Amino acid sequence: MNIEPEQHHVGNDSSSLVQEAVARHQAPLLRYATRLLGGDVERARDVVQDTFVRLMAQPAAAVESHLAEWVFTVCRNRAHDVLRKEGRMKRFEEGQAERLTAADPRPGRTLERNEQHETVLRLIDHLPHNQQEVIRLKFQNGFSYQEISRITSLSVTNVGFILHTAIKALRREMAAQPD
Amino acid sequence: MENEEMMQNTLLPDDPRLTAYALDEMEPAERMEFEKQLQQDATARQMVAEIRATVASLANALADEPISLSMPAAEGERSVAHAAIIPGRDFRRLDGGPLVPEGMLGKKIKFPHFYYLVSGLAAACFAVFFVYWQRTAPLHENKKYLEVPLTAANSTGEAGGIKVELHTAIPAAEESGSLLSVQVDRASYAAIRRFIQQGQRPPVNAVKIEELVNYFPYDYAGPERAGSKGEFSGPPFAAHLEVASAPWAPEHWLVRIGLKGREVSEAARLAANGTLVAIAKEVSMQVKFNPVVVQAYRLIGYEHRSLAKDDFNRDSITAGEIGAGRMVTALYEVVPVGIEMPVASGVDALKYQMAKADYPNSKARNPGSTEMLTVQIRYQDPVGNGRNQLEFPLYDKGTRFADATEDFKFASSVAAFGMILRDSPYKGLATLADVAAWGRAGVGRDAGGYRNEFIGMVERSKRLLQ
Repeated sequence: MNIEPEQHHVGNDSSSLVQEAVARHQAPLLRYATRLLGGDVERARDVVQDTFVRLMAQPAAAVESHLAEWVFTVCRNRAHDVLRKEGRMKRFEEGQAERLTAADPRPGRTLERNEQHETVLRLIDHLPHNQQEVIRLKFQNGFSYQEISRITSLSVTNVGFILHTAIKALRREMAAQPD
Repeated sequence: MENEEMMQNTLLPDDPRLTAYALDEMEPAERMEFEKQLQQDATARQMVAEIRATVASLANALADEPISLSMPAAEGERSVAHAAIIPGRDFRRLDGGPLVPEGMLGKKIKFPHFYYLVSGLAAACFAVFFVYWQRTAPLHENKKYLEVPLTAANSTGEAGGIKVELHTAIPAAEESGSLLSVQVDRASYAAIRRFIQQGQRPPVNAVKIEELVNYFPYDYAGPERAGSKGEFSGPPFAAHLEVASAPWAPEHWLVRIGLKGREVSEAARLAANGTLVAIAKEVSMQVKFNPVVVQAYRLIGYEHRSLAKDDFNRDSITAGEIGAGRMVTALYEVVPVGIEMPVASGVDALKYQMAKADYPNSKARNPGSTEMLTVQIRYQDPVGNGRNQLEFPLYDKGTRFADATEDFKFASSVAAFGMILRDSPYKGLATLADVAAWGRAGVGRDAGGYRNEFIGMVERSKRLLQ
């Protein structure tokens, strides 16, 4: 339509809400989507991209007060669409102890790292998928029960139950770890 | 008998309310009820304490978790490099261990890969430097406009505990470097909410009042919408000015400036290749206070900016460009002429600006009335270079806080909450009980429940601040 490069440029500059969303949420969303998609970074990238495209179609005023919640919700729905389309949904059904990682003890580390954090992260990776998701939404992305409920379509009660179960399991595992 | 009752009341470890309580996710009524039960039940209290401890180490560990996996080449080596330097991951695995596409699991880095790792690290160092450079450079370049940058956006790394934000690297190509955008970040709100939910008082530098205030949508009408063909007439912004007595210092005025960008039609959005539509660019907003009635004023928030950087007046805001439908809210506390300056009561007067004598002649425009201030907005149309200027004068009508609009009351409540969390000397008479009361008075329709959630958070924080 309009082929003036300047016009195009202006169009790009204008998307301040989308820019903000990309700047703030692209990386967390990509991580979130990658986990939802079982480690498929390429598809996760598409899903995140698609999330931002959908954001562009929204009136800013309708989403800007709860931007984070909005993009996470859409991203999750898109990821599930992808899984459903490919018949992979069953892999991530609730309660299934899907292991996305194989974390072995690893000797000979040379990089500085906080071992305690490492242990905790490894334990989280061993939780069932739905628990991991809620734990991360809660403690990594800072969402409230209510927001997590809106993002995941789980009831608030269910979110509370999943979190409680996960924290209980982690507490037990953490206590069992040799210091 | 009593024993039996206590047995019945004993909380089981499976009770999810233990976690909800530990995370401050309970409604006040339920919380009170639950606390009664806890008082009877030492084991349950112990469980709550353990949950809190677990949660603390979870949050800390997750804050350290790598945020990016790997990204397309365009966004660069920075992201890939992040993956390579992730602490707590298996560095022998190219992408850090977890989240590996299954085929990759267990593959160790071969010798040539080591070079990639090293170059990745180098790229990471460069990327980190570059991001900081990108973030700081424009502030200086724009000094001719910049008094108060509305892009508080990139400073979120300061907000204690939300380290992850720091990794949320903005793709360098997207930062034009010369324009600041109208964003007021809202991340501070999520950060303090998280602290409070976890039973901690948020650290002072995590509390950014301007971000808290701008977290909430307000009921500002935009200017006239586009015509059927997407053409516009009239200004691209509407300004919503309001003044009433400041609730925490009734002898002062509180001024609310709400700016709302014009909404555009879906058709116009599509015509702009699907991106949001710029309605104005090179936007700068300046507030001029009339020294006839205003002695001094201060912009509320922006305290995290160091004084050294504040060698400019705090009376103008550069918004770069403004997208359709965006809104921004700024609050000023104003000391009227004839009132003792707060410096007398120990407040750092440097934060206050004295009204200057160069106020435009308002009498000529509005004989018989005295303006308190004028908001001047300069902007360019998205296409073209002509400069436009809009002026919005504000008159004091002696409005009491109690008679202010709901939006005004709610924004005041949020600002006062921020000042209390910061233990700001400006908080005046405000207590948390006041904050909650003002918030309730301003709760309005509360679509989405955000305002009610805020009030709940204020209630919960009472225990933390005592």
